[in-house]
Amino acid sequence: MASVSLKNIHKSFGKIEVIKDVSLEIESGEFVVFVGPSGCGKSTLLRLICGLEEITSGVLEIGNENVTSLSPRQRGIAMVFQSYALYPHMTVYKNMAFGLKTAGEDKSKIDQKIRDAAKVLQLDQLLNRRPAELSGGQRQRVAIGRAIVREPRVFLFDEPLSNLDASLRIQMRIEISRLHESLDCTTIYVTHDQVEAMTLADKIVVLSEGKVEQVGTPMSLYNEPANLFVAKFIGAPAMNLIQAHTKAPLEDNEPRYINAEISGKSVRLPCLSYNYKDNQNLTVGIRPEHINILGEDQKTQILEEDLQLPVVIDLVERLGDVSYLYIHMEDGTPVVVTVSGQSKLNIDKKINLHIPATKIHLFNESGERIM
Amino acid sequence: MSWHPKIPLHVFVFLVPGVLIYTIFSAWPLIDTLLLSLYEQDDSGARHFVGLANYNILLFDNEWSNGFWNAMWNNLKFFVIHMLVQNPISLLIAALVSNRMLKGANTYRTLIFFPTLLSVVIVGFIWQLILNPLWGVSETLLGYIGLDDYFDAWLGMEPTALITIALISVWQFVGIPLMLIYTALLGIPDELSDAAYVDGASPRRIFWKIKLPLILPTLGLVSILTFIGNFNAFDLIYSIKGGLAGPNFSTDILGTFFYRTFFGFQSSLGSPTMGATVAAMMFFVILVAVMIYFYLVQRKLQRYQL
Ligand SMILES: Nc1ncnc2c1ncn2[C@@H]1O[C@H](COP(=O)(O)OP(=O)(O)O)[C@@H](O)[C@H]1O
Ligand SMILES: [Mg+2]
Repeated sequence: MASVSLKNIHKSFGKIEVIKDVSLEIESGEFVVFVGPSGCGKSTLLRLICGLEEITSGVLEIGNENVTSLSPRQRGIAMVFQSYALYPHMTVYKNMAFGLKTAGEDKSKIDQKIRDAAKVLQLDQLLNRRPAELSGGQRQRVAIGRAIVREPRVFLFDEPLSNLDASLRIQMRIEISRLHESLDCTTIYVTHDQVEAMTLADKIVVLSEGKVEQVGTPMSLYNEPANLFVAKFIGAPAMNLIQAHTKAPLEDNEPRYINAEISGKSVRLPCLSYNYKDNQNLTVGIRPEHINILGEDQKTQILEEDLQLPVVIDLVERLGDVSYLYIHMEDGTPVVVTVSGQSKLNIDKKINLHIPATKIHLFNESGERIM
Repeated sequence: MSWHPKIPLHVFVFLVPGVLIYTIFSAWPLIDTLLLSLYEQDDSGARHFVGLANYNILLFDNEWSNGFWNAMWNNLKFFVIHMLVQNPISLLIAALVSNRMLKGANTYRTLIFFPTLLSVVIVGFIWQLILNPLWGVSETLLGYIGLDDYFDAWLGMEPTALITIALISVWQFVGIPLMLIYTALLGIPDELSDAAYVDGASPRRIFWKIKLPLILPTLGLVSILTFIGNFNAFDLIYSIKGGLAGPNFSTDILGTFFYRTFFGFQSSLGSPTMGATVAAMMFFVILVAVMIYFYLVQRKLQRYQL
């Protein structure tokens, strides 16, 4: 168990800079998830921490010790690969023993460690099988077992669940979570699946094009996305984004409000700073579950600054417990609304949306959060 | 209870061309050769059946068997040199060339494969020139590094001629096993070596413990292909040493022995029936080796799903 600290890490392949100045503090025992779209550099960052790729510039510390130029073994790291990377010609037992044998540990000790790990991972019955004779989930567990027996200071996982089917993925997710509870080992986990990130992480690091967009707990990312990228990326269905632009401030303009126009309608939007000019672009974000439908829900209280938008329903998806309404506004902007239960609304119906001002996220021209 | 699969007639129609071509050009010549080895031809050209008498002569009559066993023995040496030199070298080069860090790997690969594309006649000629004690360049080249005292007319001396030719053959064909092994190595996912590296294994240990076991089937294949190639070899020796495979038959292998037997050489007349007997023996030697390989080796070597 050890803390990990990245200081201004850069990585280039030839002329292409893949990791751009990443700095990050990971505390001892923390479960950190790197999440981001495919190709954003998650695997590269993980391989840098692991020692499989050379760091172009920057400093990597593990347990307050500079490990920038050390090998994976010296860093005390174990990694679980996306394809599991089990040695195909070795039995499960030998797969788990390989790293320990390489380190020259004695046989009885190795045996004890493997039996212990096998018990935890329910691999006892499979120790003499070869990887080809195992199911996807079992291979996954062997890969994890191979990492555990090494007793690493830091565990690395690179999209470990992406080769499993949906139900197995949920099961393994729970197992990994439980394993982390019991081992209490610093874990860095890479995924492009934001649900995995939200459910597993103590701390999420959102990456985009080799840069850190935001670091925070799952709920802080959900509730207060720092920028448009994070707002779009976290949450399913994704946050609705509606274009707006500012209008000249009035003489008696109250602080903390912006005058703006959304598809031709004047509105007053709450905001952190009120230094703004005329005709600046804004993006209004609102999560699908925060939108109410007027006339459907009797309890909605409409406040003065709340938004009301007339819309038309394009499509209704009923999943039983919730329904998704796919809607377009008068100017064509698509909006998704989540309503609980089985909605009775139908296609082409005209309705009025109610967007509570307190639930609005507001982003300025450069995509940064201003509310 | 029996199940009669109904094979529609057109299946046979489609099979006919292939079967016909294979029979005419492959199976029949082989069978004809085997049959011919059971006959004897007298001076008038008439043939009569003699059973296994030709084999008896070839294997046990001193006049024939000395030459045959000499050729067989030389052929074995020829094969062993290939196994000890060609295949380890190609394994080594393949391992180096498949290294992700190596720049210009493709160039090396192409250069090493290049001699394989040359005609054997040219290779034989070039090496004869290079090694020629009178006007060859090798003595001068060795002189540059102070080794000219060790130079000798290797191709012309009984103890070294066969080894020299075998090494020339290795030089020419090292590219083929190299390609096979290289392809097999490329087939091993990078993540496997990455995983082993994270497990603390050195590159050498990764090679011996992870990569080598995974390419064993290919090494088996390379061995048997080498065997088949070597026991059918003829052209390089013929182009360097001619049909007499000198000096004093020290480079004679089954191919050249067969050539002299079948077509005759200088004053001695060729004998089609004895030639067929030698050819049949070559066929049996290769057949037995391939069978041993398939039944004993290949079945034990598992191909792993990577
Ligand atoms: N060895 C490499 N050589 C050159 N480019 C690479 C290499 N590895 C990754 N990249 C590039 O770096 C970027 C990030 O890749 P990666 O870290 O695998 O993304 P992710 O895991 O987030 O999908 C991609 O554009 C990829 O093409
Ligand atoms: Mg990746």
